Amino acid sequence: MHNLKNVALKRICCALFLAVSACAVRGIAEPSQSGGVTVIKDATVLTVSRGNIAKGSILIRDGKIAEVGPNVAVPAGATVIDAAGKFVMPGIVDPHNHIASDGGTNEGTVAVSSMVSIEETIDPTDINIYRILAGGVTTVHTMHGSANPVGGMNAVIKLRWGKDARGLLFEGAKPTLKFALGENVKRARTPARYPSTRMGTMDVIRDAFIRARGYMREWDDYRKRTAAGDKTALMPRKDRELESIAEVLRGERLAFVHGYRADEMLMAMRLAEEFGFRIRSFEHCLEGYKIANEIAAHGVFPSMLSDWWAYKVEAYEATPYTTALLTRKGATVMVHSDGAEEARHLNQEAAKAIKYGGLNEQEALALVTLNPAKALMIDHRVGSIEPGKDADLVVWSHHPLSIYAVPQTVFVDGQIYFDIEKDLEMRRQMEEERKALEAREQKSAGTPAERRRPPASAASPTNVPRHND
Amino acid sequence: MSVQLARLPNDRAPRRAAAAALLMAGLLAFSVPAHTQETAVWAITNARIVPISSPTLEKGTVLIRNGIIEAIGASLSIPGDARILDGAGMTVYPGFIDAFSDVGLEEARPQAAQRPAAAPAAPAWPGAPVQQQPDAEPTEESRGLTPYRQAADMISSTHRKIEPARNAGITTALVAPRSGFFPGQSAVINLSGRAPGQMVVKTPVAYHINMSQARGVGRGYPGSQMGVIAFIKQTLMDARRYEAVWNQYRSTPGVPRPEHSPALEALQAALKRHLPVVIGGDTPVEIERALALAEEWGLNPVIAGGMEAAPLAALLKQRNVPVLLAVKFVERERDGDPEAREELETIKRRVAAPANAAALAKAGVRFAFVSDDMANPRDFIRNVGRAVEAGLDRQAALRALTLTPAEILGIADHFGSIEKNKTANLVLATGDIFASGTRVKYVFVDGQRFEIPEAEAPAERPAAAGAAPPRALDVSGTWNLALTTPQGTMDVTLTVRQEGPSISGTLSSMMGASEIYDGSVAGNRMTFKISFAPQGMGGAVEVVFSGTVEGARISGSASIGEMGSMAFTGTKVPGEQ
Repeated sequence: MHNLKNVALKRICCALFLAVSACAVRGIAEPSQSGGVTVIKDATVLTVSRGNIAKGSILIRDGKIAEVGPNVAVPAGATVIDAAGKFVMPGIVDPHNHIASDGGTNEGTVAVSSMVSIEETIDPTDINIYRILAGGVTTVHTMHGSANPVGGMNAVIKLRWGKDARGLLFEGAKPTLKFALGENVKRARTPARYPSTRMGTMDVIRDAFIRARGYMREWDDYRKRTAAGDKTALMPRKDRELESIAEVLRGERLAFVHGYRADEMLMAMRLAEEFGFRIRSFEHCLEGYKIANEIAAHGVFPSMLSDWWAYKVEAYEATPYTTALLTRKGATVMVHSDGAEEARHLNQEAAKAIKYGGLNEQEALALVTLNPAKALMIDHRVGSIEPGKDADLVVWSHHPLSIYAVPQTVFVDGQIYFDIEKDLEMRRQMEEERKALEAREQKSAGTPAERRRPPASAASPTNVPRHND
Repeated sequence: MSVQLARLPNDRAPRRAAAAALLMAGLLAFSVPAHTQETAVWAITNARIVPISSPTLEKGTVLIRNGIIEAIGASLSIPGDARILDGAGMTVYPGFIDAFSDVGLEEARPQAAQRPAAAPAAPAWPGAPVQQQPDAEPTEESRGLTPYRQAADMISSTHRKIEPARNAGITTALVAPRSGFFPGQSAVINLSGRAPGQMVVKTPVAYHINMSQARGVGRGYPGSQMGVIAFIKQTLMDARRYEAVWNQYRSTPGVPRPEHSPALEALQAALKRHLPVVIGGDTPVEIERALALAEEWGLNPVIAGGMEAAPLAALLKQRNVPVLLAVKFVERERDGDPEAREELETIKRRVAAPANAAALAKAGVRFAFVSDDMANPRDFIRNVGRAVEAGLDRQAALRALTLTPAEILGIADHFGSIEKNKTANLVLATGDIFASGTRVKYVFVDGQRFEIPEAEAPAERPAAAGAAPPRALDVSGTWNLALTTPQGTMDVTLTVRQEGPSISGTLSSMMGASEIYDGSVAGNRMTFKISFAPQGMGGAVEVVFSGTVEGARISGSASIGEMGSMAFTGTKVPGEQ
């Protein structure tokens, strides 16, 4: 979602951004090989699921959390990280972002783009992976945009900075599909595209599900006939567009639906119930407070922007209290970033739900850890500090709900992928590398071989006439 | 003289008639191709010979007969019918093979779908709902799905890049249609400039897939990188089903007849690995995607581009995937903001680029150099030289311009080295091809000798790196040209106006004037066309003038399609703009 607030934020954060842009570059930021066993010692451990341990330690073995508690024995040969005075929380799970994918977030040419998949365009070199990691995020649901009533397939990735595209994918994560309602999908386009109203949007979605049902029947019929020995049954076409929608109908793929207004979210829930599936999440869910009971009853995991409102017409009736309000109504609520900048301080975004609506500390932390893990059905792996879960951990300088908190060390699968000391050292190295490269270029520009070369440009002629006039 | 008006608007007719008269005489002589006038037997003597497939001969002879290398050796007896070319001081290389180029191919741009949807597209299966369509119904072509197109059908023997490429020592090239996601099948051509049928060496050679581009043809689906990949995968999935259902139909009575699709039909040879599939990709991410696609669909992949392939060298070696390696090195912007702070990655990428080939060679990756769409073929050879400067073994570089591309393209029985019975494609240079100051003096293509004009030698460059950029060529003014026809020299006057890279004007003689069109200036080359319809030819004929401008002089040729060409020289009238 690109909106006015994003633009404003970009401007405001420009100065900050420049300072951070010197951060690591892929290839230098190799994760440290901390070996099989690490102990984070004497920290305030915020488990999220089982309360806090005032002076606790975490034993990491083979990428998993092996032990958590006040009295964890340090095995011989273990790497010990003294975290006295610091705070450890589970790696943040950002349930809605658009990083680490290239060549466009939207396949906006068609109203139904469920044939496309973010997973197929993962760009592991996106510097935002590292920057977000430095903000304590370890898992991201990186999503198709909101240009289509039925959008594309999303991807769940772990921020294993330095790995290739396949290495980022969260193994075994439940597949998801994006849908979108409201202004983004109905706005005027060139060339013109149906729908241009909220009615049309619902029609396109309904039509897609009807087609997907037909598609499923087609295949069922084929399989039945083939099983019965009928050799004249012709294999139906495997259709990526309808296959992913059929997966939603079969419960194999979760529906993440971008929605702002209460009326359209209600319509979407009714449509889902009509077709026998559940909407997993409403993305942004600005007017969710108006239909809190319905949302809780349907089992939606509302995915909130912390305190955004009034940045477009359909956002006028938003309130930052929605997060707390929906939580009190029994919904499992999450807070997302929707952008590379916001994702660097999701801890603060979560803290806002304490200010607006009075969630307790545990509830606030769950908004960006355990709850999104539940929504994405990866809570058996991440989202809290418990033995057996992945050692995705963040060591903070202060309590993460404090404005002063800065991540010091970030673990993914028990490996350090961000360390603030190492980052500073890398910046120095990179500056040296830059100087060396620039000097090398300068030098080679002076050699005869280099001088012969004309300036290269696709448009300009590269052949130089002999006469020197 | 009456002239048939076949192609051009009427207002051009009178002038065209005059041009027709001018060229008629010459045309009549073209029934005998111009190149047969030179001897078919050559002995290149006293030259340093680099055969690639065998050790270098410091002083030896190459015998050519009827387009084939008859013998190579240190002490050959020279047949009586051979014309001797004294190669003293010269180095003979096999003709360079540009394993992916845009030379010699005139590709019609695919039409974006425009016609109204007269009949809705047939449903994909009986009873299937038809997806909402935009106003125009997309066609296979408008959607970039044309795997059936053949480069061999698009060869233009008068293509403007043939002569510059040949002058740089390139005798053979892989050419492919380029637009769309499945643009078509490629062909290997020999750059003789003869009739297309004589230029084609091998066809089809490979399928091509453009995956690393975010946009489709026109504004329809797909319009993003995700969409492009989804479209390509859906198409391959459809092609696999196509084979299955047609087989089922053919073998089993009672099966409903599947729909015929030229595109899916054409893709069968790719799925069955009868032909390799060239997939474009420069960055590690793009190459990984290409390899993943090939793996998923069982294709036999060749990577085209590979500019940043070094980090994946081990993987490419392990999977034995050849790379058609581009050398389009990016330079630092000369007129950019000197205070601007570039991204470290940008600098690293730029500095690392020439060393990419050496890294691939070290890992044992099979690669052949390609110009791709570089504007100037000489920059191509020069940049291979930069790869040598950056650590690539000289012999490996030469191999990647000759025998390795021949092997990858499956033409090594006839091309890629100087050996008995191979095609007489040779380059005679004044020294080591990668050394500064070396120039290509002669090129043989199919045994036909081309003498490379001095102007095509590596030109002097601006004296210092910081020197002002070269002035673009301006050919505006009046030129007196002398056209060599079999009937003798004919004087013609060319009046041109240049606007940016395009030129317009008239070509006139004592018999009248003709308007020129498709005129352009690129580098020091000026190209334009005139058209006329000579009597008895049954249609209009296009004459393509192509010349090299050097100061106030021009030399080049005027070619009339398959009928041959006439040389011309000329000078610019001084004092005129």
